[in-house]
Amino acid sequence: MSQPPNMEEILIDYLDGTLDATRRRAVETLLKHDAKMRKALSVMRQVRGALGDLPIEPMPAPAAIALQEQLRPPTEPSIPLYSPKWLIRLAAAFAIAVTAGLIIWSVLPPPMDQRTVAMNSVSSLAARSVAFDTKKDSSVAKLGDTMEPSLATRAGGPEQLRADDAASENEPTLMVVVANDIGGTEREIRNLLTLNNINYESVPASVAERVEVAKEVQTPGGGFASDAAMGAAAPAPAALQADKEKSEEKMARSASEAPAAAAPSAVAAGPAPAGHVTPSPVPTPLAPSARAAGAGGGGQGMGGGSRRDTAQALASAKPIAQQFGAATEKRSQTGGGRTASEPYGMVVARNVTPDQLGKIRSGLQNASRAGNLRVVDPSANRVTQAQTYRKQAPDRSEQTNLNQRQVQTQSPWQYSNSQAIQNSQELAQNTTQPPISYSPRYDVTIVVQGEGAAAASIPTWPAPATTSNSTLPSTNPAP
Amino acid sequence: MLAAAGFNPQAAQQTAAQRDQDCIRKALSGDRGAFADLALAWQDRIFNALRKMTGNEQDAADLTQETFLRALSGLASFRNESSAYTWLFRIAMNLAASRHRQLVRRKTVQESQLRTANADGVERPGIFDTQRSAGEAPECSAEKQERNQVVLAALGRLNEEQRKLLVMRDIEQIDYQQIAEMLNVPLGTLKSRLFRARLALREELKGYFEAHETVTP
Repeated sequence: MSQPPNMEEILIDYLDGTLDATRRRAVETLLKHDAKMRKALSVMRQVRGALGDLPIEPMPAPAAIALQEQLRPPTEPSIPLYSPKWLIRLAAAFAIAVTAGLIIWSVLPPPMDQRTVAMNSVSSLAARSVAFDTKKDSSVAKLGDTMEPSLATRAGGPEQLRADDAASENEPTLMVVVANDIGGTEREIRNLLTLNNINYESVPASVAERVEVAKEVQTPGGGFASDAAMGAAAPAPAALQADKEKSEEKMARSASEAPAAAAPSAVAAGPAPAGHVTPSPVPTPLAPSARAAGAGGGGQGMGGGSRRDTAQALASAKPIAQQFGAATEKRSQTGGGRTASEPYGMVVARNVTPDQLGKIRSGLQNASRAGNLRVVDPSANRVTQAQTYRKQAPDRSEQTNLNQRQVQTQSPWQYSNSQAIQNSQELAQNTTQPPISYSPRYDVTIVVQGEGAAAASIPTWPAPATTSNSTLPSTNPAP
Repeated sequence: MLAAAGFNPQAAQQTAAQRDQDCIRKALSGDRGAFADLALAWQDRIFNALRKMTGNEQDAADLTQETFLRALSGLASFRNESSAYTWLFRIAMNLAASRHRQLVRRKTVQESQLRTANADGVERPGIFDTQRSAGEAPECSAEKQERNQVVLAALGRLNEEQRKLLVMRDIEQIDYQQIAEMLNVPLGTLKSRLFRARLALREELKGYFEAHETVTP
């Protein structure tokens, strides 16, 4: 139940004009008789009018702007996707990208095809040939480096060879297995190398070296002396053992100084039997070829004309050789020759051409037919394959014509690069005094092994591709 | 005169209400620009009400800014049961009341500072300047401007509840129903309070009105 409106409410409604007609007439009748009510109504109107007359004051502009800046998102007003501004921006970006691409395309060198790569290799090869000398380290060029440039472009050719045969082809190893050596096999190998004008290093095993020294001392003029002809004071077993240890220490030091040269010899020698010394790539001080090489100590000898020098050098080792006379005498009493398990020695022929390699092979095979030795040549097939590739390659004039045709068929902007390559080729040709040699060079390691030692090391070698080189009769008697 | 010119207040009010709803819906979906548009539509009226409530332009501007920032942060709590302006006005009045309480507490300590003359030497009326009476109106060139200042000063001398009622009803012309909802009082009570607030203001302006005007019966 609502309360009846009081006079204040009625006056408020009357002043606002919201009373109905009946109540309005009633209020007007009351106002005529009540002065206090009239005064109150007058006050209401006066106050309402005074407040209503107050001006509406808008928010000051700085405050309004600050408020809008606070309420508006910080990003710039979004531009519709269909706005031309987007199209303009897109077109500008595309134009910039195309311009930049053209600039880069015109500045960068063109992509090189296989032939261009080959031409670049020709340039680098020519430049490299300038520095070609007869020094020991640089004279032995790798097969891939000395190959004719056209070979580099032959798919699956020398690259494949280089990958497959890097270990065996560049340094072919021939193992001469001797069933019962009487001491002349290694000497014959040296003579063979000397006759073919091949540089070599003789790396004898310690025991074999001592025997060799003893023979050289007994017969200064060289020749094939038997062990039985040699005689001297017998060395004490303790002295022999001490000398062995001394030799091992020297060989270990030499191996650390020349690991690259030591690797093939270690492979060739295989696991040496107990009590024997692994051949060293660097000759011991008693090595006759090293003595013949003279100053420098590089261990590189020249076979031709060095026999007398070698004998003279070995004469200085006479006291040592005399100490080992007993050993040689003992050998002669037991039937002569070395024991089957001894590693006899190793000869490393340097800078061997394919023709010289063929002569080495044929000479060793001729010896094998005559005596009790056999030749194991696991790299024969590989080398033959590389020679075949070389024979199929075009000669130098053909390659030059090919390069010229390539330059003529290239576009103008490619021509500049090709022209530069050609210029570099011509420059290399003019500055290279010695003719560019594309003939491969090899390091041929010839290992002389006893039958027993070779039997242990041969299985670890790659199987020979051809069996024609193995001429040792299966019925060859073992010692 | 506006009606003769073709102005339809109800249609205009409906259009404004529809615009406010659109702005709030967009703002709720993440469009801050829409809320800025809403603020642009109501910022002058909010400022005006706060100006009358505080009697100080700078305070009114600060409170207006604060009002819209509060509204933006509490936008999710807005319900369409009331108009956007009523919602904003309620926030503004609450802020003004809070500010008034802070000033009253500060006034007890620094009362003299509130009546300090400005730097230009002209002493401006403050809504809380209780020492100024209606009879001590400043010698202004414009009589109307003088009366407005006197009225504002008298309004400032009322209590917060009376001042809020007078501002909402006699200045902002908010209908009784909305005011009753905002103040959470019955409609009859609201009208009685409004009646007493007017009498109180009239009492504050008694000297001024007696000196310059005659009360019409």
